[in-house]
Amino acid sequence: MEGPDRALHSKVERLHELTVQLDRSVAVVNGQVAAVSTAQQQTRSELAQLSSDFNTFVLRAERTANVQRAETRVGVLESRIEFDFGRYDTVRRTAAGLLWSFDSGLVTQQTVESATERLMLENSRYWLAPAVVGLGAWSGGDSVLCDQAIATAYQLAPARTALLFALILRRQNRQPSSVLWLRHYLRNLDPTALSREFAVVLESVAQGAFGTSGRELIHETVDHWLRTLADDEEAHNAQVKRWRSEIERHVPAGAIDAFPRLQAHSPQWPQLETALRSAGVHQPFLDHYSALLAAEYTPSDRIEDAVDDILDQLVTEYDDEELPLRRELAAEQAIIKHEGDLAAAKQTADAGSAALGNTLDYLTIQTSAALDPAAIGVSAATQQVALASCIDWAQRAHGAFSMGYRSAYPANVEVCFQEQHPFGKNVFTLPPWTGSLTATAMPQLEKSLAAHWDASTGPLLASLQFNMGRELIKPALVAALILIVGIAINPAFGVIAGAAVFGLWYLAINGRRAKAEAYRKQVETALAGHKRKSLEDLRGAGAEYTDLRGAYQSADAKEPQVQALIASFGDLGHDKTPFERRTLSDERNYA
Amino acid sequence: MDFGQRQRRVVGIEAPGQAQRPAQHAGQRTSAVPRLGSREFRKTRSGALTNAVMRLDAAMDEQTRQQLAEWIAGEYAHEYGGAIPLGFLATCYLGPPYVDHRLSLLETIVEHYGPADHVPAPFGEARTLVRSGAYLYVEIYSDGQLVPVRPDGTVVTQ
Repeated sequence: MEGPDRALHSKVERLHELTVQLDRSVAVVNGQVAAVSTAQQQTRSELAQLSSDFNTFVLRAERTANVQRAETRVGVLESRIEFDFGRYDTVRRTAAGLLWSFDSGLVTQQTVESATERLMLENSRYWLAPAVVGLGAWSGGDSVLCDQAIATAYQLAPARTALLFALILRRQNRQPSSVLWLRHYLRNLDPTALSREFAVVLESVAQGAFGTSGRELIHETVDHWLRTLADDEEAHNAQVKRWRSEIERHVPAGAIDAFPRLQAHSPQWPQLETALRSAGVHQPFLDHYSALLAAEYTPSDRIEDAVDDILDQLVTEYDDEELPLRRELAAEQAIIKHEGDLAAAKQTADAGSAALGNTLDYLTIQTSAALDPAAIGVSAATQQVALASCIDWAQRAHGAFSMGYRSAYPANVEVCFQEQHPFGKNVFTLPPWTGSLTATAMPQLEKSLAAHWDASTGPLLASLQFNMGRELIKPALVAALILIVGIAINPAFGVIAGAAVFGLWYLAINGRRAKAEAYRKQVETALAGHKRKSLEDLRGAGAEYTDLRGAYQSADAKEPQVQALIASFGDLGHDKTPFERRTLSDERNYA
Repeated sequence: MDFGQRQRRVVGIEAPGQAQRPAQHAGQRTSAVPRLGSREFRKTRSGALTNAVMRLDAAMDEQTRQQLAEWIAGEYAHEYGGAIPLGFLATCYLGPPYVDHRLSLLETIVEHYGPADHVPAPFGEARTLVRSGAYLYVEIYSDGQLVPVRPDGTVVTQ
């Protein structure tokens, strides 16, 4: 009886040892797998960081190279412009000087003739040179040379020549002749392909240089053009598009870092950020255009000065030949301005290139005068007049922009929590939990997230619980066996041996239990901390969303103000420009 | 669907024999695609028109509602370039659980929706615009175009 029992007992013991060994091996493998997984995760995040650092570095290097290249190009272009067209400056200066000498009478006719003829020889292809010769001949009373020179200038640049003489005759108080030249000039213009000097005409309207008859003539022409262009939807849409890009230019840049929790936990963060940024467009736009409208325009003291200013612009503006180089120069300068960001530079250059185009339609002239007066060479006064023509386009562009970001505002804003926390050799993974900040109240969300945490951590903590009952089965069985066998041999010995074996075994198990319990407590405390942090983040994200919503709404509420401001552009064309008062006072002087 | 999310459908009081709408009405209400460029289409909506659209929501009998809808369709046809909207989506002032309602010109019905209700396409697309609170209502056209109307009657077109 004893033999088979012992054999059985030793086999059970052996089996038990094997099981324990297997348990240990599995635990070791588990630990190793967890360690590998943690290491892999760490490697992956380091790799992602490295890749992002590398990309930033490449981008920075590329931009630096772009800026250096652009700086070199700017130098080259500037010297080419100086070399090829620098002499045009001489013509421009002579033309301006000639006009001044007409007034002062300090220069002899002989000097005028020699100076102008030399210019003609040096600049045979530049329209201003024969025009200056014509002026010299006119002052000398040589009508034949004057006619020839004007004919030559007219051939080279008919519109500019007509405008130049219109302005000069206006300066010499020969208003009927000046308006005649002006009519001639306007009649030859195509409203869909205006040369850039038309901006100067707009300027002279703002300055009141052509008196009442000139003003009527221009208004008639412009009204006629507007009627012609009214059905040209494409041209109108192009202006709306330019205004749209002007509005987008005011969208505040830079990272929005006031909402870190929302950024970390809300899948809708990109849309929210875009909406908040876009709604932020109204205030800068209001500031910019209010300042522009409020700017007081100070007119020149004498109408002659004003005409001189316009003449200066006519004779100093870029010639058509210079334009391609000027455009290239503007593009390179934009690259430097945007610190090598080619996309942003292209956007700026494209917005400006419409103004540096060879010909423009009347609507584009108005938009350019309103948006970028310096690019087409008009003054702030003209800009104010031009703004009045842009109301419809600006309102359409602004309305559509606001509609765009409003319709993209997410209807449902969610927060998502999915976390991983290592403990010992293992990793605790919180399965994804998603709640809606817009549809559910915060106390409910908190309750739901807390329940999710408890549901996820419960099984883990339960598995760490030390099962005393199960552990005691084995010692109890062995002790019972010893007791039975011992009693058969010697009852007293059997009882003592059984109790001793059980007691010692129990003490060993109890020691393990205390350790396991301590470990479980430790894990429980750590997980409770993570849960608390999650709930804090949830509350924080909720508060941040309330703030963001408030900021968005208060920024968005300024939209009607912008619409009203744009509508008020219309008031400018009348009382703020020197148009009426200058013309009237001027006419009183001449009466 | 719980109580807070149910739809409230108002089709007016249908007298016997009126349940089937006469065919010519349906035929008249074809919703054309607006020509966005047209100046007529971009014109400010008159006070009478915006009031009529807002009144469609008020409790009234089927016949009055139908007459009002016809008048509205006529206004769009004659005054605003000929494009008649499929209907409108506007903020609902009935209070919770409703947030917005759909006014269909084609079917002459008013449907009120709670925040979680599904609004049929293409009306559903206009919800975020209506919720922004910046517009009186949004006109919805058969090709899916949305044209918000501000409280002063001005419209927003792309």
